[in-house]
Amino acid sequence: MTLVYAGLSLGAVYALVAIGYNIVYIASHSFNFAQAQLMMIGAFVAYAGFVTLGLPAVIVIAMAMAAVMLLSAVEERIAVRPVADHQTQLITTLGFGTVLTGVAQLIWGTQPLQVPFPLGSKVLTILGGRVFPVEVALVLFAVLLVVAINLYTRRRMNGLAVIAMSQDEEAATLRGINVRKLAFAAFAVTGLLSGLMGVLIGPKTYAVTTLGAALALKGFVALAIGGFGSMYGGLIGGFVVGLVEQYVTRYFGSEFSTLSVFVVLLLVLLIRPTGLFGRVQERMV
Amino acid sequence: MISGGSDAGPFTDQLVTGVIAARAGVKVANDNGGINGRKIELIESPDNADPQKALANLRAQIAKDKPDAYLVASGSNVSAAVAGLLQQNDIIFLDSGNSADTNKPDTNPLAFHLAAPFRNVVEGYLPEFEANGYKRIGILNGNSAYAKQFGATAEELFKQKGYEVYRVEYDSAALDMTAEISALQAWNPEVVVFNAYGAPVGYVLQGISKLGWDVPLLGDTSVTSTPLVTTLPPDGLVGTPEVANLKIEVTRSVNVKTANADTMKAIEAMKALGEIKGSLNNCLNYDAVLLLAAAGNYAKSTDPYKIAEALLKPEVYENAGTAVYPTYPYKADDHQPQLPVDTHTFVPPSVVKDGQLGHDS
Repeated sequence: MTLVYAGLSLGAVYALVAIGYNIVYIASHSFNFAQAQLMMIGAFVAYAGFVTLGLPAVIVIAMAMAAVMLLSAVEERIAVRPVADHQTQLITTLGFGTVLTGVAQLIWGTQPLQVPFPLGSKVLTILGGRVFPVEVALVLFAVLLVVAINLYTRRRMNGLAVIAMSQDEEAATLRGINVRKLAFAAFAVTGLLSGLMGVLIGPKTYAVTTLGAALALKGFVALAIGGFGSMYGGLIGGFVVGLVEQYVTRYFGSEFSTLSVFVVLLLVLLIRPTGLFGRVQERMV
Repeated sequence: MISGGSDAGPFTDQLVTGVIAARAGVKVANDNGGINGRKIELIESPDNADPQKALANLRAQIAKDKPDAYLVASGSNVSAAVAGLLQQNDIIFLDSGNSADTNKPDTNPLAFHLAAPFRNVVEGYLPEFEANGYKRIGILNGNSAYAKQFGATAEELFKQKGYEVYRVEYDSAALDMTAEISALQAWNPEVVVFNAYGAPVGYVLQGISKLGWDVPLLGDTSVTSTPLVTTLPPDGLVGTPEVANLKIEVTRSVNVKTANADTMKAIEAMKALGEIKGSLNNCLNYDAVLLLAAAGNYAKSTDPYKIAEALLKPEVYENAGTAVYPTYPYKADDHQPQLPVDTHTFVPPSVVKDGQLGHDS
């Protein structure tokens, strides 16, 4: 069971990256390749709050969420909005992520920094498997976040507007939805959540400037396995990547770990080109 | 001339300290009279350890005023990039990056390694195994070129010496080591030898704690270079249960209790010029300058071939006053320092101060 928990908790980390990609993708059909770096900044802010400033958890969480939301809003203004097409946005958001990594190196250095977890670090034994409290929290948070986002997009007017936008931007505009405002809000909300994700990820991965690069690719694979635009897909995709990595590493060696993840991705895409939960959009002409 | 200088990047501390070490070496050597009565001048190449920049700066310097010797402050990428140009221009190269290109005495008699050879670092484990009666050795190494070479050399040497060995490799970009450590645990070794730098050190220690595995751990010199194991909480792990079973490999000069007078003199010289970040192992350029000065004075010349010849003489490398290693025994057919087996030792993690471990408070 320890290996299952390790796979699920690692998968939850990838799923959180995929969720961040998805929110922006659903709202604006663009990929925010700085998503993993935003989460990395969240982890560093958590370190600064807990360790450097000695603040209580609630304030640290609020601080991380606010800081990363601000950065995400700035990103939307300088790296997304001025760029006309989505392909170029891949480059500009990637560039923004690189800038974030550089700034983090200048402020916090290049060595891993320990981020404390408010609920402790004593190993728990659950159903015969051993797991850190933060790993349990990561899995629960990823699942609850996906459920909450799904409920919000189905039951709230703003959520429905985002779905409408993702399906047909022109039609949504004609129905009176302020598409630009909503796309900006999606970025800001992603930043808000990324700050919170950073607080949770930091105690497992450390706050370290290589975190962005380590998470970006696997998070994207989780998204592709699950299907672009599907929150549940991103979650399942993350868990699949985490579990495959752990089991292949354990029984075949780490040299096959990344390879096997891409084999799974290829198999999924061969059988379902839109990913496990992706939807095909048909249009009559 | 020294390649170094850095504004930002993963090797900033190493680069800054490498350059400070060279400056201190120059100061000490010049205070001792320089080379044949002439002062040594250090030309710094601010290249962030970027091989292209280092090469361009070296070309420009050769065109302007050819340097007599070249040093690098970090890694083997710069070494590999500049080795050919240095050889073409008959410039002595004391390489702390230990590039494969700089230990070819037949074709390049002017290049020498400064850092301990892999085999020497690995041999340092044998007295520890013997002292504790370990017979079954687990090895955990990363997948970078250095880490793979460490793992392969350790596996080969330990098997040669009659130990049972099981080796597991981890992906240096991985964020969780539970699977790798489970695989190693299933084999039930008496001790685990591991190589890691930066966050992977933490992931390995986390994984062992999570599995509740009570096994002695011996970290290599890369583990020693990671501040996580040489810093007190909350930033580091010194004194925490995670490192209770850990011992880390250090050269005797890095251990304050076994360091000699030459080492302490070097530390004072470096402290006067800036902070020593990380361990003293980043300060090989101090030794490089002192070796050059001793060889030049012995040869009574700055001719590179005469200096290279002098570097092979025991009266030069044993009396140069070097700090990281007390001696650099080079051979005509092997330009790696053939260091004694007891050059390295194992100590529990403690706070690093002025490049050394083992301070009382």
